[in-house]
Amino acid sequence: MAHFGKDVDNFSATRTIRIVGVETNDKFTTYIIEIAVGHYVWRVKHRYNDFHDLHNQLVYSCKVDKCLLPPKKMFGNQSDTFIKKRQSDLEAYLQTMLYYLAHKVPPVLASFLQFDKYEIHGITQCMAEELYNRGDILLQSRDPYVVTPLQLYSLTERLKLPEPTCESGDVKKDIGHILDFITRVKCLKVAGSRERVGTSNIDMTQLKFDLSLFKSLQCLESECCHVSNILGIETVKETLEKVSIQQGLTNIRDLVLNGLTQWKSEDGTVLVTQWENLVEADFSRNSIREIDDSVQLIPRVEVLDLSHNRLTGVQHLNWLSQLTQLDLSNNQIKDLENLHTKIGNLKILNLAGNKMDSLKGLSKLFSLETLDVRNNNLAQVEEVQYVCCLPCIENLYLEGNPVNQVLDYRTKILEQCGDRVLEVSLDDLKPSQKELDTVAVLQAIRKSKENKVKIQSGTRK
Amino acid sequence: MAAGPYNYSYIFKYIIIGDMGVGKSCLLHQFTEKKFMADCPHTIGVEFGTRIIEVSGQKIKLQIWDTAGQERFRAVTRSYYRGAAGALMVYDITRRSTYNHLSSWLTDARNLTNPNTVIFLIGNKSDLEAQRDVTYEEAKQFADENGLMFLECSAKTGDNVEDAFLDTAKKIYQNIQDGSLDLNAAESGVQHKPATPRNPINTDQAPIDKGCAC
Repeated sequence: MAHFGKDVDNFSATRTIRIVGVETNDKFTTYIIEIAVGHYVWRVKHRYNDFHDLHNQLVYSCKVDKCLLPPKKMFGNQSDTFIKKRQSDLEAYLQTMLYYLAHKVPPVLASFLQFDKYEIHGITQCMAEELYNRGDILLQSRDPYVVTPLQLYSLTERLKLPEPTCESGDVKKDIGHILDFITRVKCLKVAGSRERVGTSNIDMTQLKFDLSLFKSLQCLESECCHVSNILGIETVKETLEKVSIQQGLTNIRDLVLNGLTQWKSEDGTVLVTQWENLVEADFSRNSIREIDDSVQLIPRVEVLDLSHNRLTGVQHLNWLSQLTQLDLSNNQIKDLENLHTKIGNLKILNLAGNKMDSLKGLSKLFSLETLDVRNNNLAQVEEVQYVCCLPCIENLYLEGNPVNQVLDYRTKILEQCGDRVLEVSLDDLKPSQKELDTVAVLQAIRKSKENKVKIQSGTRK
Repeated sequence: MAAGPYNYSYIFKYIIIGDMGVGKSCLLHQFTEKKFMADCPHTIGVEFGTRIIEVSGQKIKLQIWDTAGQERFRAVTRSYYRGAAGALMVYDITRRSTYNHLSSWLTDARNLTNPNTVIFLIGNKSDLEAQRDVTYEEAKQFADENGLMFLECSAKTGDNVEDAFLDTAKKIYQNIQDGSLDLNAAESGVQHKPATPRNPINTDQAPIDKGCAC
């Protein structure tokens, strides 16, 4: 990536600066400057006046020759030939400046070329200064510290460069302030993006970065950033309590094992350490097709979110003996046979937006308190009744299923709840008095029917 | 509101240097966490730690750069010297080779830091008396000849670790007090941090909705 400076391999990427075009309106002309370092390119726009200000400061701070900048022109500065000429003069000017100042790009020039957005030193200096000023306040806040993969990448690469920690000479921009902060910060959010950064061709989804200096991290969120780009997970996994990886995971093992293939010996003994502190895992909005056996390394997880993936069933969840909340909404699940043999003490289960046509498999999840099966293919009251008599059920969500069209749908479902009808709320609505009365009648009728059958069968004997 | 651990008036930059395996990271860990790290992995590039200490009633934050001892990282580790207020130079009392290399480390330190940088020599692993390979006396003599402060420590038991870090800070602070260290020089390794406002987080917390009484 873009950086001006030495690095370990004596890398010297080609650096070019050009003025690739102009934009003219009736008042002034803007020059489009393109900076390329290696294969990274970005553009900034400036008017002549900006050059003028820059030059004044460079003359003052860097003893640059005053005559280097093409002079001001009051009249006739809108003609094509003039602009062409000035474009090439300004280009030559910038090239000269960078040639002489490349070893220590002065802050005014760096900000003129927007190094703070696109170049490693600029980005890290900007972070350092922010954290020098606000680091302690951010540490006291409950909100996560939000960074982009580009910032983390810049820091990772900056630490590899054999350059002083405070190359700018401004103590506030010492990268020590970044390390000071990141070794203590508890919550981090990596906000990736599929779009190119600003005016550059930098693709953040391709940038790798290392988290091993985040030694106190308890909560890690990441969006739009593939886990294979995140290094140092082995270190942060010791402290993490909550993890959320969205749009960056194809298999759970990509995160949990982080590229490790040999993690079990032949007799099944696990050779790697577990995620001892992880209690919440959010793997929603990924492309996970199945839950793989690496989940046995996250045995303390209580809350698991796998919504918006491509699951067709559930496997290996028996390893998660602490699991109480499971979100499987918006997957491709058709049926879950004998779910109680796979999950024990589940309290909240979300299966909305799947392809379930029966709830039979849930009939023995006795600990279940909340079940959301909205927007599935449940058509028959008979296929729903299995969950109505669960002893702890309190909230049942059935909207968006064909069964809603059944005549007297609510009372038919509520009737199945038996004695618990008073505690249950269906589709976020407690049964009304009228419904309760109807249900009582229906239940009485059923009872008498059953008694009749019993008596009949009794008399037959 | 007491800003608690976040209130300090100086930042001192420290570096820890020395051969591979002398226990630099363990010293840092012992000092920041007050624990011994039994199987400490090789440092890749750099490690980092902070702790706030008090010297003559002043709260001082130490930002400690723990460098990798391996030769292959030497180019990178050299870059951390600049602007260090204190340098802890560590050898292992049970391995003479680590002691023999001190002059090379010292040359680096002298060349790359400023003249006021306080260099503290630490003979680590003093708990392994039976395997001692370098006597206290000769190391003391080396330190005296080169104007270094010196202590033998044990990152394992914690013995003298605190003192090494604190004595360095005291010396730096003394240099500030007597004017030999210029705070405004970028490379002094010391930053004066004006006291943070009393309630730095209040502005952030203000919007918390307490609910309406009416």
